[in-house]
Amino acid sequence: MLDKTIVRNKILEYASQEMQTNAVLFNEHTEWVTTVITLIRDDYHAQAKAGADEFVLSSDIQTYLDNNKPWEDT
Amino acid sequence: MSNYTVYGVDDENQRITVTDDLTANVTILELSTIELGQLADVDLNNLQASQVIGYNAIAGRWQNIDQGAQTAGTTPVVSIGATHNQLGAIEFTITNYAGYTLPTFKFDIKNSSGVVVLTQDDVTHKGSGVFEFSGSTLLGAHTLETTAQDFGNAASVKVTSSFSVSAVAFRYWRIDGFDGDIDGTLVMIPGIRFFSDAGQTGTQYPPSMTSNTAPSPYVASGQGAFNATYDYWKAFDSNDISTFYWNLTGNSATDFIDLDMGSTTTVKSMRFNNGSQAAYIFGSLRVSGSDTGAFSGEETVIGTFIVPKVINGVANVG
Repeated sequence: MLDKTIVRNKILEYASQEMQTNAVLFNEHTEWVTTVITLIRDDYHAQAKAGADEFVLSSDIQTYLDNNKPWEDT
Repeated sequence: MSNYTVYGVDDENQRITVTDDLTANVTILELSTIELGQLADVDLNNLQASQVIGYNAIAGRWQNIDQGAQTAGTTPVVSIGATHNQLGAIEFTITNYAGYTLPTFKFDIKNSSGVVVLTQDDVTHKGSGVFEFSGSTLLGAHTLETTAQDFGNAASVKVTSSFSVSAVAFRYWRIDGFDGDIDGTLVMIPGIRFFSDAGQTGTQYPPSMTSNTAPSPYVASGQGAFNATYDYWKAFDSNDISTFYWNLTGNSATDFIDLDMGSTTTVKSMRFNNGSQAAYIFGSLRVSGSDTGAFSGEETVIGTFIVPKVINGVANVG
């Protein structure tokens, strides 16, 4: 069974709890939050179904999220 | 039941002259002896100008009622394409619509046997004289009969237009032209279904797919799927809500989903499902068919179909 903590932390890395709350309350970054949760959650389910021992975010998803996050790294 | 056409009203002698539409027999009816049952068969739709009859309760007798204008109203100019398919909405235009003040239109859509199969109740006015109706229950040669009546005027003469409706049968199908999400570019498409019969009944095409090539002979392909999790066949799998085609890094203006049915397949109805994620729902898509699969100009655009742009919105076509 894959450790869901890794999945949860990976989601929070790209969409913090505050950002998720604001998305619901104020429609801020709703598309981004939807994208992050959908991509990571579906990737988790795909890896779990394939029998993976450890969740590692797929590289194409990692690349997409890194290139499209709605903030600039300092 | 016979229908009668009134062609003569003799107010002085309180009688009307009618012809039986079926036998052409001419009958003179004495108004003073007419029972309601006798009038039930009179086809009032065929009354001509100056031939309106009504009961004057004060005078206590039937009489010719002058309703003002006694000349036929403006004749509608109807423009409708000669050929249509069963799945797309059949559109027609009354090109002189702007010339009317407050018009009412009567439409009778008849099959080749002359039987009325659709009426004005089945026709939607899209605005500015553009009307449409569904061709899903039609097949073969038909006529559209249009009569206009503007406010305060008599009815126009009846205008008859011909058109035909053909079944939609192709081997290769393309779904594109997505009206996408919030920024208009990206879509999640969880459910596309084709059916052999009208009303989303009969055989479902394709059967629930389990890969881009299964079950045989169905093959899903396309452009824009972000990765295998959101592959083309996900639009045709058994889950019409939470598994989907997703062109996350694509462009809805150019992305598409293709389906090869393996052989020419007649489709009489379709269903399109939106998913559960508001950020990527879509509002419409276009369906085309091809006999070769090239989609390089030889294809037939079947239509662009509106899908409720809401979570889990469903559009049934045909």
